[in-house]
Amino acid sequence: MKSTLAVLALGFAGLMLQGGLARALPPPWCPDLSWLVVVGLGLRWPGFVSGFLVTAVLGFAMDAVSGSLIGQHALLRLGTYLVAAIAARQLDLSGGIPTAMLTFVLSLGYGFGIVATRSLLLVPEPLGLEVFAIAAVQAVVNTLTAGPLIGGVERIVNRFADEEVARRSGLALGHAGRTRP
Amino acid sequence: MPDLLKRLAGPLVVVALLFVAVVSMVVDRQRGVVERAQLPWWQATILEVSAPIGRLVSAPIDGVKGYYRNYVDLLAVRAENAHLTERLAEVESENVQFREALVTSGHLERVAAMRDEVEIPMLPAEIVGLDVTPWFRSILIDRGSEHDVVPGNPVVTKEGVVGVVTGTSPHAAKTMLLLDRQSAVDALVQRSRARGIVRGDGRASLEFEFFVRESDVVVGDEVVTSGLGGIYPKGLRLGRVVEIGEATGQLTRIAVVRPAVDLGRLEQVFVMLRRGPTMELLYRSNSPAEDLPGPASVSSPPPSQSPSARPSAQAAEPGSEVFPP
Repeated sequence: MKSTLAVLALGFAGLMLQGGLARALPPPWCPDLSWLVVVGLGLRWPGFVSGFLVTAVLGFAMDAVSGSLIGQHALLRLGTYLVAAIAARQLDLSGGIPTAMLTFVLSLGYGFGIVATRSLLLVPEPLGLEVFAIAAVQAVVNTLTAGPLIGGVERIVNRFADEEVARRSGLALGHAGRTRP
Repeated sequence: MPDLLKRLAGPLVVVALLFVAVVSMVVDRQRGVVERAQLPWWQATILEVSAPIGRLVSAPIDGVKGYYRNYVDLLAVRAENAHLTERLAEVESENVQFREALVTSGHLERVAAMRDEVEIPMLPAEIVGLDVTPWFRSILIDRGSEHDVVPGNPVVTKEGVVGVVTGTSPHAAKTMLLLDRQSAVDALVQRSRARGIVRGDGRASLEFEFFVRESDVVVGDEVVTSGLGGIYPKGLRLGRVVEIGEATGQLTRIAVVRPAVDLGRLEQVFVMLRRGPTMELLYRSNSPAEDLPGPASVSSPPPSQSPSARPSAQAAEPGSEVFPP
């Protein structure tokens, strides 16, 4: 529970920070920090369903501050989480380069996903080179800033996992101590 | 049975959340800008929290940017001063001519009578956040429903139109910029009165789509709001035509318009708390054929009324641009 709250706090902090940060680094040069937390969740979070729920909350929160349709970022972030979680369970993504490559591809896909859903529901637009160029720039920026955010999620997981293990082992030892003659 | 439920819980949560996201999108799509009431509590809460944090984060950024900009501006101030002095003389001369024209056509009394109705309460607001994704062009401002801001209020600067409020919480409002691909404004060319639609291209410029036949649009033309569409008052500056696309054999043609407002350097904006007839109406005679030449736009009247002034009951209804009796 603590770890879930901590990672939610990290996601919200990223969301709040990036809005102000975009004043200095206009899109696509501004990293999507809360999206990177979602990638971190997919890659490092132990519980699939709880990670999915946290992602949904962060996605709808992003929709609240963005000009998107409500649910658009949420849907695509859930997709990002699913792909990242499946990739983390199927591939060896422990190194920096594989993680960076996956982040780049996911970010690129996210850009195309936004344009595709917008085309479908709002204003038709071609998925051409221009979209690719903008998505690629943001993918590079996201990839470069992914380390600290994914590392942050990893630290939260490790920190609270240690506490949990210590708590459980403490209980077990105490129980054993009482029953021994 | 419990085992089955336990096994299905995960997939059920996944499917349910994906379904909720899709349904939310479809429902949100159905709602128009002006039909949106105040945001639901959870969205409003996020905006309420975001606005002060955004202001905190952007304060040092604005400070550094402002310092640099002041320095750069100082370098050009002498040349600008000379240019402005010259321009002021021209404008004063034009002003005298227009007043003369108004007096001779008997419109000056009408101007005085309509003054209260013409003035639109303008609420100054600061930008506290920008959309971080390059796919949507929206900003977050630090004024909301507590300050009488409602979805559909136009947002302007002294240079021209910025966008429209799309959602409010008590102390913050989400504003869609003109550049957003969802933005479409009924517009006309100030010089030739050619009508069309100005749309955001999602990047740095606007597209002005106009009818090829009987339309006279050239590079350098000023494009202003037409007042139709129910959101923007008539005569607000949208931008200047910088390029005209080749005719493709269709009925319409597209011109590229550079926005009047530098939307990348926005810091302070004004929310128009109600819409109403603009000064352009005052330069029209009763017969359309006898239109007087004159400045057809009021880019942004100064905030002459209290920011908390409530929209007047006498305000013109959206879309109605009618002369007083």
